[in-house]
Amino acid sequence: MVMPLEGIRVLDWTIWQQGPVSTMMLGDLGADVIKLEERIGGDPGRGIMSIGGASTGDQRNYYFEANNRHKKSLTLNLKKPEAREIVYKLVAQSDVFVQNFRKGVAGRLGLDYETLSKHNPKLIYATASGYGPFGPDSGEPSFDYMGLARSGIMNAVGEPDMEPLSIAGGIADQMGAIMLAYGIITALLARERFGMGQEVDTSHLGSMTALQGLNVSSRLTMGKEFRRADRTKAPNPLWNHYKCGDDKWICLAMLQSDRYWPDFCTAMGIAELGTDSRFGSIRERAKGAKEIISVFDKQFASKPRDEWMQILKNGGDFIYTVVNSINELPDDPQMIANDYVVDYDHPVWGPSKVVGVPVRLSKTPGSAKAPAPEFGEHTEQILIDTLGYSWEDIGRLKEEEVI
Amino acid sequence: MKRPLDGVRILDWTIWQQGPVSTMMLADLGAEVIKLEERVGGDPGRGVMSIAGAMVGASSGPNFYFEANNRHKQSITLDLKKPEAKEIVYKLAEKSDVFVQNFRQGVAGKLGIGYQDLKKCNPNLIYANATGYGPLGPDSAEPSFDYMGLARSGIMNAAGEPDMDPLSIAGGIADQMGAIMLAFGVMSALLARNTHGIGQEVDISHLGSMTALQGLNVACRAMLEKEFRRIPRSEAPSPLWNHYKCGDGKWICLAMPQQDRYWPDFCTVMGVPEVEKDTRFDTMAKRAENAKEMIAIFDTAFASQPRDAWMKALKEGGDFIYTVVNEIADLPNDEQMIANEYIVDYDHPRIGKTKVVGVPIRLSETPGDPKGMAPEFGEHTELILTELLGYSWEKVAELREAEVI
Repeated sequence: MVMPLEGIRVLDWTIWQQGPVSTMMLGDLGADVIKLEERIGGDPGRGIMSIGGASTGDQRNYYFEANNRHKKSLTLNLKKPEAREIVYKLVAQSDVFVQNFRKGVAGRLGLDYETLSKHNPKLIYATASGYGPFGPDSGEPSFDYMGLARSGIMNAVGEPDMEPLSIAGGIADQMGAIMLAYGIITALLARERFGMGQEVDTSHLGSMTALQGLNVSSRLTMGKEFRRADRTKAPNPLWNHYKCGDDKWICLAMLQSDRYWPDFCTAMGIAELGTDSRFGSIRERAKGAKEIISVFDKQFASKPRDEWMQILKNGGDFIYTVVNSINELPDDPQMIANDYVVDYDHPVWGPSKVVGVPVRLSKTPGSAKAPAPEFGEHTEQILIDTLGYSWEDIGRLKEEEVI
Repeated sequence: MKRPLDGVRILDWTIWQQGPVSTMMLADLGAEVIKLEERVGGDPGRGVMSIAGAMVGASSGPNFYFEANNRHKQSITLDLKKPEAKEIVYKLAEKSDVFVQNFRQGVAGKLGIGYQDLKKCNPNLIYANATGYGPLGPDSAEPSFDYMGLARSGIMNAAGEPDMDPLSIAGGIADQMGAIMLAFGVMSALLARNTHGIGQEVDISHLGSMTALQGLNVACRAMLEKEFRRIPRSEAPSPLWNHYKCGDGKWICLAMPQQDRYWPDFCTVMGVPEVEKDTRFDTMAKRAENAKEMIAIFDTAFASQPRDAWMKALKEGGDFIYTVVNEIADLPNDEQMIANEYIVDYDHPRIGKTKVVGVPIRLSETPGDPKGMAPEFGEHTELILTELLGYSWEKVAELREAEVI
C-alpha cells in the first residue's frame, strides 16, 4: 500500500527528542528522512547513558532508537563551506527542513529559512523551540522538564496541597514533536493546494498549552482552572479511582452518574447504598462523597482487581478500566490488537517491541518497523545516489574533514 | 492570507471533547465544519454543568466547555432515526471531504451512517473515528472518557513521586490528546487524498494517543524492559534537573542534563561556591550518590530569596536552562504566551471581551485563526439546508413539522 508521505524528502537537522520525534513520525508515514549530524559527536542523543533513572549503559540505546527509526544519517562539518554546499544541494531536492537548535544558530551557519528558501522557494522550514519564536524567552534553551514547568501541568497533576509534581517519560518533548509533525503535514497540504512553501514552528510551551486546551480555556473564560481533585472527596464517586485487594487500581468514569448509580452499587455488593435516600442525586452524592468513597474503598479492597473487573463486566454497562503502569502496557491485549505496540525483528538487536503508529489510516497506513541509523551510515550513499558525487569527491571530502 | 484548509468541508458528528476538539482544530486552520446534533438535546457538552471541579454551565457564565471545543462551527439539528434526516446526511456527505464521529462502535452503522454507507455517497470521503481503546481488540466497543485514557495509558503511575498512589491530571488532557492525533490523522489522509487520490477510514483512540504522548517511556519499556521511574524530588539524582521552592513559595525548575558545563557557575550564582569543589559533590556520580544532602543544600539556598530575585540572578549569572513553574492561572499573564499568540484576545459577539487559546503551530503563509464562536443549538439548520443543499423553505417547514430537523 502507498504511504501518505511517500515521495516526500525531509532534511532533519535536529537533536535530542522534540525535533527527532517529529521527523520520526513523518518517517513512519513514509517520508524519506535524512538526518544531518555534526561530524564530531553527532546527535547527543546517541551518547545518552541514563535518563529518568533508566540507564542504557552498554545496553540498547532505546532513546536514540525510539526517536530516529526510519532515518538515514549523513555526517557533515557544517562550519565548512563545502558541507553547506551539500546541504544547499539537498535542500534543492527536498520538501521539508526541520531544526531544533537555539534561535540564531541556524542563521550563523547559513541554514536559516532566508538562505535555504533561495535554494528551494517551495521549501517548508520547520522549527521546534522551548518558548516560541517571539517574546523575551525566545532565545532560551529548553528541555522537556521546562515544558512541564512553564505550561502549568506540574500544578494540575495530583492532589490539592501537593507540591508541583513532575511527569516521568518526556511528554513535553513528545508533545512538541507531535504538534510540529502536525504543522508540517498541514504545510505540505497547503503547498499541494496553493503552491507555496513557508515557515512552521511550534514550541514546548505552545504544544503543552494545546494539550491542556480545555483547562486553559476554563481559566480564560471563567477565570478559574480545573482544580486538582482529592481522591477521598471526589465530588462524583463514580468518577474516581480505587485500590483493590491486590493493590492494583481500577478507574471509573461515569460522568452522568444517575444512569449508573443503583446498578453500580448492586454490582459492588452494596445495594443498600444505591437506594440510600441520602445519596439519590448527583448533588446529594457530592455532599456525601467522603462517606460514599470510604465505603467504596473498603469494598474494592475486599477483592483482587481481576475479580472486580469481571464483576463490573457482568453487572451492567459501566465505564471503567484498569489503571496501568507503563510496565503493563506492552502486555495489554488492547495495545497489541490495535498495533499500538508491535513486535519488530530489529536487524541488530533481534526480536524486540516498538511503539506503533497511533493513527490508523486504512488505505495509506504508516509503519513503525525500521531501525535508527548508525552514525554516518548513509553519508556515501546520499552523496553519490542523491547528489551525484563521485567516489573521488567522497575521498577528498573525507580527507578535508567535511564529511 | 489563505488558510490551509480553506475550501475543505467537514461533517462533525461528535460529542463531548475528544471528537469536537479535533474538528475545532481543523476549523482553526480554515475548514468549514458542520456540526450534526441530535434534534433533542444535542451535544451533551452543551448541558454540562460541572466537570472535575470546574463549574462549566453556571447560570451566570458562559459554557467554556462547549465554547472551547466548538468554536468556528455551524450547527444543524437532525433526528437521525428518521429516513429523511439520513437523506440529508447523505447529501451533505456528497458535498463534504471529511466525516468525523466519536460514538461507540456500532452506533454509526446501526443508524446507516457508517463508513460503508457514506462512502457510497462519496468514495473519496475521509471517515474518521475517535474511540477509547481503538477499533480492534476486546475493549473496542467500551465507552470511554478522558479519565479512562489517563488510567489505561499508565500516565497516572508516571506522574508524581515514588510510593504515591496513582495520580490524576486535571484538565482533560487524554481527550485533548486523542483530538490532536485525530486532527493529525485527518490531515495526513487529506494529504494522501490530494497526492494519491484515495479516500479512507482514519482511527485514533485515547489509548493510542496517550501512548504516542508517552512514546519515549513506552519505547523504553518495550525495548529495555524497564520504564522511567518517578523521581523523588528531594533525592533527584541530578540537582540540576529538579524543581525548587523559593522564599515566597513560588517554584523554579532547572533542566541541565549536561551538568558539568554548568556546575561551577551554578554554585556561584546560588551563593554556595564552596559546594563546587566539595568532595561529596564534585562529580556527577557523587552528586547522584549524595543526592539527599545535595538537594537539601539547594533547597535551603532557594528558600532564602523570592523567585523573582532568583530568576534575575540566574539570568545574569550564566547561560543556565531554567524556568518558572507556572500554574494554569499564571498562563494568561505570561509574556511568552502572549508574544507567541498561544493565548489571544477575542471580542466574542455573545460573551464580549475574552481570551481564547491560540493555534499552537505558526504557519507563516497560511496561518490558522483561533477567533470564532461556538454555534447556538441548530443555529445553521435552515442556512445549510437551503443554501448548501438547495431545499425550499416549504420543504424546511415540512421537515420541522415532521420533527426531522
